[in-house]
Amino acid sequence: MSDGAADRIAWRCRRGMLELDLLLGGFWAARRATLQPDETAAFERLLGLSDREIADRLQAGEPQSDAELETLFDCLRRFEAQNIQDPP
Amino acid sequence: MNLRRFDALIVGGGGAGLRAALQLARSGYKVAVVSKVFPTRSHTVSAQGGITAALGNVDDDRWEWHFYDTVKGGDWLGDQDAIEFMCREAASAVYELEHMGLPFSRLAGGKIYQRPFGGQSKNFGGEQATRTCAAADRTGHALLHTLYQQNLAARTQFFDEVFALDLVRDAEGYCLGVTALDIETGEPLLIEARATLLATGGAGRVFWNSSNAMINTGDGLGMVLRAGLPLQDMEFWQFHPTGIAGVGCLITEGVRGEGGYLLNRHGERFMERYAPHARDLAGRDVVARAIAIEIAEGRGCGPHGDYVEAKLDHLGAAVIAEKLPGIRDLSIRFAGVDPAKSPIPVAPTAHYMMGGIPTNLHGQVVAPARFGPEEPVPGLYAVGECACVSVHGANRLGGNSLLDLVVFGRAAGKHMLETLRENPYPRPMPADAAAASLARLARWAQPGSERVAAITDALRRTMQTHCGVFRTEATLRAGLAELDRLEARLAQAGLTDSSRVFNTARIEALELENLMAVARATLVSALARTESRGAHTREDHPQRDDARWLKHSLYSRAGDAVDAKPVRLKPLTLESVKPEKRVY
Repeated sequence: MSDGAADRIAWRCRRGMLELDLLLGGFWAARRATLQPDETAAFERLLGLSDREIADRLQAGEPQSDAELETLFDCLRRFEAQNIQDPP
Repeated sequence: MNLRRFDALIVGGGGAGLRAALQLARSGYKVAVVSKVFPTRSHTVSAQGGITAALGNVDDDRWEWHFYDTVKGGDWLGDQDAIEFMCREAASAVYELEHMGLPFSRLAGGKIYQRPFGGQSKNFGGEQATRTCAAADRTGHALLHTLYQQNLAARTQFFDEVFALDLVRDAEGYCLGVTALDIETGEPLLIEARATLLATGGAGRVFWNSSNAMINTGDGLGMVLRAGLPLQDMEFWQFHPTGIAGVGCLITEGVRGEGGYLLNRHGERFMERYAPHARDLAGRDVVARAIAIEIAEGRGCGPHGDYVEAKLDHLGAAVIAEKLPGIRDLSIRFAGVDPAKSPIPVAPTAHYMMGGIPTNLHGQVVAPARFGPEEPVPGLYAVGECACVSVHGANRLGGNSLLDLVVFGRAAGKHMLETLRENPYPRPMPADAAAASLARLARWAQPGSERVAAITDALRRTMQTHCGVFRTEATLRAGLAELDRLEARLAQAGLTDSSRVFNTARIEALELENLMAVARATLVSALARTESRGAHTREDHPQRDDARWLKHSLYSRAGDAVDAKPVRLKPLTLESVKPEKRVY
């Protein structure tokens, strides 16, 4: 992945809600180097959702039709559980 | 440089900007909205509690009582003509949103659901009122998406991921548009318009502990200061009483509105001592100071005694799930507690900027000029948190910010229509319109020995330490001295990334310039105001001093000057609410 593409994703982790800034920005900073291309593509799809959709799906944990996205939400929940963040 | 021309330009894609844009686009004008993130990711989405309007759906209510509460809540610094305008327009603004499709929560009879919020009263200071209209605990999200959809239908043109750099004005002071940077391509743009509105939101990221999203970096404020225009009442920052301790994420006042309350380490409902009548629903500044005192005097909870607890388990899991689902989720994720079982650890967090770009009732930016202290800057408007109209005075009441957005967004949109009709042709663009912006961009193409992120962190810690809930002359002067050092470091800063495409480091550097300007305006204004009023608490000047300080402050960058202008104590039609001691 080019630096420009990685930076584009980093910028799109900027959200309207601080809690999503912390979670999505923290996740991308920590995992960007190790995500596989299909996981990165799923993360970009996730960033296209609205803030509330992301927050609701993190909360609800209901299975979705997009299996890759669902795996990613699981990954985010685990990341969050391990990293209740201090503000950057 | 790439030039784009529109009738009207809106800088900022949050609730205020989108409401104004809608007014213009529906009238057939060519409207552009420039936003550094996708508009639906604006900070408006975070507003949880609701929008205040005296609909009287739950209990008796009148907009005149809302007016009184807002004047009192603002500790008499709010302009009473603007407050009357906002409270009177509130019901129609809410019904208008309902007709646009905003999915409000409903009472059993089908009317819009309303909840009690802090600082609300019946009969001019009597019993608690129930005035804030809500879409569960996601009113801001519902409002933002409703307005965005309406703008798409009205064919507003969106420039997403475009960062506004500077205002463009001609020799006579007319605003002709802005310069901007396309984040994706790195290309500078000149966007020309006959009317320009700043709706760039707040600057809460200037503090270390803040409820604000990372995008709230005061970009419009920096633009205004660089243009030589003043900022008003910048010493007044609201510290929301209940941020999740150590994180800053907000636990809405709706929690206390629904019956939650605060406890110290002894299990005492301490708000009964500070506000015997309103208790946990006193004004935000009152509750934030009470919590700060409890913590400072050793009655905080936890191993470090650095928070108090918000208890709501007695409401029951069903009520929490129905009325406050987002709060339960936030608490579990960021505090590790389920509020249906355990109290939430909370502490004050920087939340809202009452000051900002001075405007009149029409959203026109005003500044001292030849013929008076409040002359409109032709072609330039501001609305929302970046603006100071001033309806919130020294302290904003919960539920009044979304109202401010839609009432004054609509008012500004209407006045911009007049401006467009009266000015049918663009004015000549100066040859050097973009020179200052291009120089700023060129400066950030140079290497440097200091890192932007380190300076940003130091700035935020400085503001938290020296300009937080409690202030003194000594802390503020120390803060200014530290700011001088940080500005010297900023002059030596450079970027390691010199690419053009999505160079987010460059955007963060430009944001830091804006935050620095906001910090200086705040510290200088806070030092000048030698009294305590609303959210501005000077330990060395603990009393409100109406004789000397019942006036707005106006900060100008040139010489760090602080001027003043009178508070408008005369409403439009009502009797003035005379200043009195503010007791809850």
